[in-house]
Amino acid sequence: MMPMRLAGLVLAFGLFAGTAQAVTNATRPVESVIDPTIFRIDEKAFLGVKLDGATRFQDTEGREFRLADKLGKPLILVLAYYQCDGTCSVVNDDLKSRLVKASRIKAGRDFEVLTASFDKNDTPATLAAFAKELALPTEMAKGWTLATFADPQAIKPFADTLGFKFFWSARDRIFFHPGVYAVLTAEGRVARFLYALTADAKDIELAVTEAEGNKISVARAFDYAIGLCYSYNFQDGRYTINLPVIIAGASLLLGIMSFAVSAFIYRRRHLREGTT
Amino acid sequence: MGALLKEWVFTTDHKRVGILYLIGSIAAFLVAGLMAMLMRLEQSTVGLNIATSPDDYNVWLYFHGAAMILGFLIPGLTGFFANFLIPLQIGARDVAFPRLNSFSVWLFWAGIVVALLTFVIPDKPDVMWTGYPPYSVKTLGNTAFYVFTVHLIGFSSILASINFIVTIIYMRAPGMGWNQMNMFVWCTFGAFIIQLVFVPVLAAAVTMLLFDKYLGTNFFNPAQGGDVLLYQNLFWFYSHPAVYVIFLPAVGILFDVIAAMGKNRVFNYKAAVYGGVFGIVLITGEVWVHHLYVAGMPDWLRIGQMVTTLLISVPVGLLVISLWGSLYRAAITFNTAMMYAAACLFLLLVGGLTGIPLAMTVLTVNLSETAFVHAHFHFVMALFAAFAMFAGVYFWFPKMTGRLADGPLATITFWMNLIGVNITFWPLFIIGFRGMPRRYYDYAMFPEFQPYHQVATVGALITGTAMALMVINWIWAAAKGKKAENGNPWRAKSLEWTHADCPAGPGNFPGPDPKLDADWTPYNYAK
Amino acid sequence: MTKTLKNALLGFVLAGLPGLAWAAPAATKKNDYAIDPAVGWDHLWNELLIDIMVIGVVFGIAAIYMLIKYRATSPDQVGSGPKFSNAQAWAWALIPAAIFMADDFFLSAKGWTLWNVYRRVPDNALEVKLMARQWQWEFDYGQGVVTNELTVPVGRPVVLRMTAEDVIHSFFMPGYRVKEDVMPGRVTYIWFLPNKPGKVVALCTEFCGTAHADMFTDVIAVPEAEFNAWLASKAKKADASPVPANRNS
Repeated sequence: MMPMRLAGLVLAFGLFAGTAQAVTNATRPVESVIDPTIFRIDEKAFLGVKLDGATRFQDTEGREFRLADKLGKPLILVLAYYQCDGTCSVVNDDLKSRLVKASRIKAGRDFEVLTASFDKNDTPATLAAFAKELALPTEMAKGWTLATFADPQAIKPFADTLGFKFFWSARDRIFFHPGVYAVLTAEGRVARFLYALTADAKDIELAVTEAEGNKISVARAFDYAIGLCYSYNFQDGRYTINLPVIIAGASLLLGIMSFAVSAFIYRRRHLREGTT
Repeated sequence: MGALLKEWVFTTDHKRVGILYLIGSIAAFLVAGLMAMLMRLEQSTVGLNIATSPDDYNVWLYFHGAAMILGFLIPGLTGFFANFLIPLQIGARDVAFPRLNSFSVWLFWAGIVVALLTFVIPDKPDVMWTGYPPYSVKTLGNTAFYVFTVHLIGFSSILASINFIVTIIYMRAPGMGWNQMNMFVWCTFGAFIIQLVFVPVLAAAVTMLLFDKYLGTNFFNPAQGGDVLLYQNLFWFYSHPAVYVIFLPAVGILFDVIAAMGKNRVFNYKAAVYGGVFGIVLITGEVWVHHLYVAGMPDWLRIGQMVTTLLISVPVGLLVISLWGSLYRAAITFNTAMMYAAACLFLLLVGGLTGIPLAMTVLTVNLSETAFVHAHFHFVMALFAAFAMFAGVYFWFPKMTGRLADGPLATITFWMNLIGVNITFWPLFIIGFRGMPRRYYDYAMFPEFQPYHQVATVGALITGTAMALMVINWIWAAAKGKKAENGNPWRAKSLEWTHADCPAGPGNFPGPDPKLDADWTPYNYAK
Repeated sequence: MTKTLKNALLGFVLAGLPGLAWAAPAATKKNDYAIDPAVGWDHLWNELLIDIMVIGVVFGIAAIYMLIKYRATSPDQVGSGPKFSNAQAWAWALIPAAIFMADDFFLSAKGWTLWNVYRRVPDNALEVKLMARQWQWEFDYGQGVVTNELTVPVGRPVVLRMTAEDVIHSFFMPGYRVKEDVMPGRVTYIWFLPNKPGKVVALCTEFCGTAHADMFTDVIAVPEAEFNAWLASKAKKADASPVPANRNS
């Protein structure tokens, strides 16, 4: 596993306390030592799974909605919790800053974002405090819903379908969890897992394009073309240039060019023979 | 003897180069045909029969597919026929680059040798002629031999394409306009354009395969950012057009044989050329996804390419109408060549029409990778194209050897061939439709299919015997056959018959360079 | 452009229109087929069989007739095939092309309609995860239930979410008229509707090595109640031994 990927996984440890901008409180040192790889989502087993569209949430206004209400276009799903000392919002904060840079896609127009808390102790009040701290730009806020689960009993099964593992460390008084967000298709299937601090704006753009999958529109044709030049690298957890496409494209010119050269040589030889 | 050998090895005469292609491709055909017999015997009953392990069967299957397509059909049609006929038919004394031509035939021979090494090396390649990763990268088999075979034969055919396109454009006899060329020349011209554009992509794809397997790169390794499907896309981006590289020259041979033996003009020549041949060249690059209908491609791509694939029926339909129309009010004399050509019309119908369900994405969901597909492409490639080649060999045999290959043995082997192939492949349509997969050495899950397999095996044995006898007949006829009484035994009007001897000598035309009138065509029998 | 050419092009467009008009309703109609894709498949197959048999018989008879009828009566006889004027040549190219295209568009529309049925998974479908490896299928029902045969309830759609560990495989159920490749690094899915109790075979149809031909298993459809009982008992067993025995990672 590459170091970059690890970075995304170990958010819960507060190791990034020094760098993460969202940290306001003095951070308690984390004493527990836990192998971060156990939080890694087994993509073989969980990519493509369908989340239960009937799962109910409550937004900042206390309104209830179902997951299915947010679908119909790709959805970026973030599982986090709102009462940690600040480091947890690294996932949300990171996503926010990447989305600002992702110029080709826009929250609300091309996709939705849903942050839901896996902590059953989160309430509308903690949610409101968190929302204030996150301070989403107005435009982005229209396509980004912060929510809690309406039924705390639904949290565990929901996270399990996703392969998302988390647990409370009483000693450190924090949750351990992967810094991951899932990009869902319009039908609510997981198209891609991306890791905070690893994925950049381009990765998010490509993942959303990929999640759009079958619905090609003329307006997005260019993005699809870009998408063809990249493929997802499971080891690095991000998209890398799809070299074979470029090599094949270049080779397509090879035959035609060698023909042009040959025709040129033939004509010159012919002309020379004609003059002597 | 030594001098003769030297003369052939260093020959730059396009006719001799062509005959060298013919010998190499018949050798590939016989060995690959033997593999077919072994596979049919293996499948004659449920369970392992003559193979000692399933791997044996897989190696036979790999060799059969790779050698038949890369070693027999493509070199036979674009190597032998193109070399032997194009300069003669366009009134040129040789090709544009004779030494390059001789180089490309020996590259092809090297490819055949590398392919034949399959049988002597340890860890024989078993990647099928398609060589899909990750299997071809993970297998213990020597994928390198597959890659080198593709490289050598591919490089050879790129050189041949360049050579013949230049030849056809610049070396036609004075007075021969574009609309006065033989249909074979047109069809082969189309095939060479396809080769030139698409072969480099295949070469690049298999090279990346080689790097993945032996140098540890990750071009097609999904765990490290490679795309597992990309190889298939690149492979079929060439290999579907390759079907037309085989189909077009075969159709060209049919046109020339039918027109000459029917003493008739080609029906709606311009539609066949500009609609048929160029229609195919134009669409052929946008249909490859029909080989990936069940490979999880995006739906818009599957549906889009279903439409383009079905649209191939338009240019093919124009060629078919011209072929059929050329029989209308003809004056047909049946020789062996014409019998093969007539049989081709029916093989083309079966092969072409069974392709329509396979063009439809949703029907392919049940039919792909079954014996139905196996039977379909054997009707098109193995039977239609091979029968067209046999028609061509019988037809131009006097031009090569000065002797005729027709005779009782030729007629008997024709009927055995025609009956044999139909007995072999019709049962496969039936069991394929009912779920029998291809590339299976065994079918323990479908014991009820055993009688069908046995019928197919009997058919294959009949065909195998006939093919062997046919090749023996050719060898015998080349040495001892009835002499062709003049340069034009079929009384055809094309340049190779009217202006060259039987056999055609060095320099092709004994008299002065052919010069043609404005109303000359190779098909002006009725004046 | 000459007048004849214009007329010919107009004829081409007109001849192509019926095909489009014929095809259009097929593309817009939502549920042309019963919800069971396999039934739709058989239906479309039968229609297509008629289509290709008509073409085959017409052209086959035409060829046989001409091959017999137009034999030369003397060695000096020559054929008298038609020589076309420009307009005739265009007509003989464009009219057949239009007819073929009409048929193509018609078939495309038919195929597209059924394809949508194949790809639109019903909401109430039972989700099963399929993992393929050389040379074994593994079905994961969740709750720790992992089997090597696929057991499904009759009357409820089943969706398989499929991926592979090593090389490319292809999951094919001839009985349910469906297959799709199963690949490492990518996820594919198929759905089907078990309509009556019984067993059908599922097999691998992408060459995957030595035991490719032995990579087959049963798909067993049982009544819904029986299925629920079966799943519950399996889940209970899985609870007792948290790591399934046949999971090798």
